[in-house]
Amino acid sequence: MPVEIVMPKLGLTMDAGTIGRWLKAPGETVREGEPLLEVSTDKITYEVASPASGILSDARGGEGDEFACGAVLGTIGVAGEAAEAPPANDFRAAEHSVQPLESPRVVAPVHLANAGGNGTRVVASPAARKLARESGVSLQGLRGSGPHGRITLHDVTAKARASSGAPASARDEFPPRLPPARRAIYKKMTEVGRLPLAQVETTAWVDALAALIRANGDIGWTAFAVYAAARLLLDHAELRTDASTGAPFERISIGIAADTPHGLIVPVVRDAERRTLADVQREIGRLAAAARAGSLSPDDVGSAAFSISNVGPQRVERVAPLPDPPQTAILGLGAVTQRPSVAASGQIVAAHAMMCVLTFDHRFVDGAPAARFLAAFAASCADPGRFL
Amino acid sequence: MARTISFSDATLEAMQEEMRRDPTVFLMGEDIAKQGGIFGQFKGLPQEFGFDRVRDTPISEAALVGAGVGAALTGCRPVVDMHFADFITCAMDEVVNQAAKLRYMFGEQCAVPMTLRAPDGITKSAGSQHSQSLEAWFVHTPGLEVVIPADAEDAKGLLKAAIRSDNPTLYFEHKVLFPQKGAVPDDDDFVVPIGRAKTMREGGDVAIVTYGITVGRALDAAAQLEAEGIEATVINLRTLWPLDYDALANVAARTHRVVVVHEAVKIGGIGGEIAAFLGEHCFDDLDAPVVRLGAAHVPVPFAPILQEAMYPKAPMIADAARKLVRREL
Repeated sequence: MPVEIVMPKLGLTMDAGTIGRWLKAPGETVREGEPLLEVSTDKITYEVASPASGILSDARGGEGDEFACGAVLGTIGVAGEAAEAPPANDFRAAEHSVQPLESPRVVAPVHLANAGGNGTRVVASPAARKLARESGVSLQGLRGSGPHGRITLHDVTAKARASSGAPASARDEFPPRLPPARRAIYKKMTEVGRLPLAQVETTAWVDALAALIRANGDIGWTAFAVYAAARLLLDHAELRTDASTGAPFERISIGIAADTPHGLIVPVVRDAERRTLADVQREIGRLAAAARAGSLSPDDVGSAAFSISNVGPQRVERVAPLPDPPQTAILGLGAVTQRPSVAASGQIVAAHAMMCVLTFDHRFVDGAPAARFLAAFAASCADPGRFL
Repeated sequence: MARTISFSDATLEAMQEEMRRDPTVFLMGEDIAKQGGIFGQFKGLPQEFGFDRVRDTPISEAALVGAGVGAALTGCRPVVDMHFADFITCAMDEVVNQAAKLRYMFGEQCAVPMTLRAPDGITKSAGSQHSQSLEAWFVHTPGLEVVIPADAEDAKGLLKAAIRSDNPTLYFEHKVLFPQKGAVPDDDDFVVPIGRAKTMREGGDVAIVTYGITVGRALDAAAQLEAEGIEATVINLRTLWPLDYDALANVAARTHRVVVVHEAVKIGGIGGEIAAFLGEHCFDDLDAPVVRLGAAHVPVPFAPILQEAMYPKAPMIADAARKLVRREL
């Protein structure tokens, strides 16, 4: 009996794969386990091994052709046995088909919108077919986003748009199942992804700050970071560049990334450089309570000059956050941990350490000023008394 | 100007105004004159029009509808109340073989301008013999008009249109709607045209096509969908026969995704006709299969939990629409 070669399912979300190339030609003898062809998905490229030893008697589709998982790609016949073509009306193929319309071994492009006849056909919604006809979009090779890979209006419009370079409509901007609450951040992060971001990082040795915080039960790590960063930003004006104007923000308001039941929210401590440490702490307390309750006022968010993300409460040691345009930079603080440190005497001692990562938009800030700011911040954590 | 009145009062006003306008309009039914109808929808009418024009009848639907057909043939415009739509079964010969046929069989020498008021639908464990929605039977019977109001405005406008129509018209009114209030135009001549659907709200992502009580449920679903960023059109068919096929074609062309929903049993329901029409005539407009929602194919259960589980409500409607928009169907 011939053994079928099928498109493998390489992951839960894989519906179809694309043939890279056949490594064997029909008629060639293959051994079980020998690589037969390359298959690629949107994530990986994979070599399909021969499921049996024998003669590759049938190889369907060529480079770039997409097949549904489970679709028959060919058969391995035992030497001397007549090759049997896969059934023309393979149920799996018909149901899931994103298969090219070809009889075995004939690799000819066919306009699939009008495909009919025996077995393999493109599954597309009537409206998608109509639009494809009208706009001259070929359905061949198009990956459907509907159930079982059905090509929908969405897919045809997306392809037409991609080939015309027209901008996306608001509706098509987002993945279809994205919760609406994530749309704002989806859009923002897509924008951020296009920025030339660079990072500097350092370890702040924070024994003195830890002692200070122990002594003043009311003061938190984030409050000190906001307080110190705000004062440093007075002198390090590049780090508070307003990307929309190219000039520094006048008000040094600091955003604090907060994980709330309503998702990521960034409340802002206004004019942080003018506040005392205790005042910053009080304001953070107020903002945190309001953020949890969902009662932040419009004045409590937006228009920050710089932001801080502190993952210390999550006990994570390092975070490299992304800036929130038009802000130019963001400081990520990790959890404070005890680490071995080389003291001035050369002895190794236990010391409190905190990882600090500064991400910045290189269009506005160069590495050296960013490094100077971060070093100054680390120094202020090492010697908080200087600021108080 | 519009006033806010109950659905029940809207039907009462419709009859009152038509009776004042046309002396051939009269009412017949069980317990409508002395008692005023089980929903108060006939209250006070005998005082204005007398017991000749507001008649209590014996408990015989066959006799009642037969008398209505006869009166209609002689030029009257009877409004016959069925008490519960379920009881039409006792008068099927009068409705299907007489009322529906006579105008055709006598070459338009006569007409049957009779209105059958038929309170229907599921409510408060009324049980399987008092809860049905039987409209599909009558849409399937040529010669009848079928109208189904969704709110007070429809209730008044469609009942007046039914009374004025020269054809036998079934007026299915959901029992749950009677106490519900809604705006009604302050116009003695306000009529909702038979055969025309109403767009209750516009949205480009998906259309919910429905009628009667389910219009409110569809609007609730649409409000939920809107909160999720999905814009739904809601079509209130108002009339099931003649069906507003143009409205269906238009909405399919605009939204490409259609949910058809009714409280009546899904199998053999009017949703099937609508889905089939869209498949036949609007095929190229559809981006996904038409989704039909309707009651389960079982007699309406008495048990409250089972009763409430057997027909489509807002969450089920929203779910179907959501899946269509997310390309999961």
